[in-house]
Amino acid sequence: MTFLSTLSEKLAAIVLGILVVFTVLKQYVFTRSPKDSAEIDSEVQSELEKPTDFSVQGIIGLSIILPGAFGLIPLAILSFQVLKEYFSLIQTRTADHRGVLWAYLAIPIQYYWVFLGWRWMFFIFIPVYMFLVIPIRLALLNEIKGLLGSLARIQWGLIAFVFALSHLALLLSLPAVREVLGGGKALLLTLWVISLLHNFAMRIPKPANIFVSLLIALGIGYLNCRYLSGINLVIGLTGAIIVPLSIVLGEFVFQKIAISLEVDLSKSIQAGKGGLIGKVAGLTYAAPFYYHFYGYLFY
Amino acid sequence: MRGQLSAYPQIAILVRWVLYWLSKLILRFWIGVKVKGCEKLKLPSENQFVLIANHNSHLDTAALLTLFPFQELKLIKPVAAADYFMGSAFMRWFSSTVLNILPIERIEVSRSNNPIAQMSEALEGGYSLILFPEGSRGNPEELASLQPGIAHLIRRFPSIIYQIVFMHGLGRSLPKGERVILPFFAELIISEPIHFEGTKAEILSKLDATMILLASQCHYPVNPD
Repeated sequence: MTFLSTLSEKLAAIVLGILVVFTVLKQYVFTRSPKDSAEIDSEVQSELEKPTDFSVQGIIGLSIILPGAFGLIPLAILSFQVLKEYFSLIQTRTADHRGVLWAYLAIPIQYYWVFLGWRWMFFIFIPVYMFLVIPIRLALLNEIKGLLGSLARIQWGLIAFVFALSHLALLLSLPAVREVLGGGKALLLTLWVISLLHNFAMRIPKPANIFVSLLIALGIGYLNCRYLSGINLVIGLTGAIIVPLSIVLGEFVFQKIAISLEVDLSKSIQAGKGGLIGKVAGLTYAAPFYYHFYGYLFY
Repeated sequence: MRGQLSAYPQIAILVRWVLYWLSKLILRFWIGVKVKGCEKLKLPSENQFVLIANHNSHLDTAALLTLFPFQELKLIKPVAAADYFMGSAFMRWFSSTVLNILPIERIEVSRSNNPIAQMSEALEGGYSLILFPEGSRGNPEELASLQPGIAHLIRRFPSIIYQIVFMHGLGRSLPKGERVILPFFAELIISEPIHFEGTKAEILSKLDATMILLASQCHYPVNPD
């Protein structure tokens, strides 16, 4: 077990290093900048006060760099933290305590299937077994009022933040095959870099932002095919385009859900407030779509 | 009477120390408690105070005690129900020596075990108090009406520092009747020191209003049901 033994790991380390330097510099500028100073106009001040928001991206980068199964740990912690934030934001009844406990217990089990390489169980554990077990546990408590709503909320959180996000771990665990020489790490690295650059592209005014994001995705997809994983160019470019499109879809859905919860996701990213849901919204869609595209073709 | 930790058995101090750090770890990393206004708190060795808080969970006392340095805990007495905390021999030892509670009677209150008299005695002895004037944990994340005894205490000791703490989320992590602590983000919001004056009703009304004001500063939804 060696560190940074593959090209994907080395590239991930470089990108992660850039993110760390960028974060530190931005933090330095922010803490040094005098608040309410006339020298800094309000627009620049507002930009500076935006939190440097690479925590989720950093976790994914770390999971690529770490050798072997250690890469699963940061992703499992990410699922835990996001699920915690979700349960804190939604309505739960006192009787839901036992159901929520089962939802938390599902996290290590789901990632354990990835560790074992038992993909069949990975795909049915939450959508089938947890879907059946949690209602039994809550029904035994005989607290009928609001039962269906509670079950729906718990199961939705489990699907979005454990099942969907754990596809990142599954992607990571894919071996190198003839069609994908770089293996799962190369695929995850490609998804990671595209989603990272997508965040920057989205700062461009609409509607140019999505086109810029698609162009970036095509560029990264080309580099992946040409230098990293050796995937067929048409397939590689199609896979790359899936990422920004599914991120946009995921963020759209999460915005509507946030409105229904009367929660402002942009506020929830204030420092010290948790605030991971807004950052993983796109990934909960991108990870399964992206995985299944390659999974059906090559694995 | 003040600071008689040396009278405690060493084992109690060790258990208290272990529990203190374990509670800190659980509250900080497992639950993720955020504290707003911690800098407003005084050290009991410097200023005697009464912390008045809402009560939803057994975690409440731990969350409040861990706001202070360990060596200050010997001067803080959480006021707790004698019928619950002084039941068995072990609970009596644990509650009075490890948690350092001030047990008060809720059921058969007489002139000799009057809670106000017990609290007054503790305050006169130099202790700071943690008080839950709702009386019991009640339904998770629901504010219950305050017991009027708190107003009597405030009128008797007007010069002591009174601060209100609104806690939210701990009742979801460990509600009444549950044994497993689940992670839900929790918040503790601490008020400035408050000066009370006026009648009993005015004091209770000010307490209620401050509690509601603090609750409005919560980031996560209060009273989700």
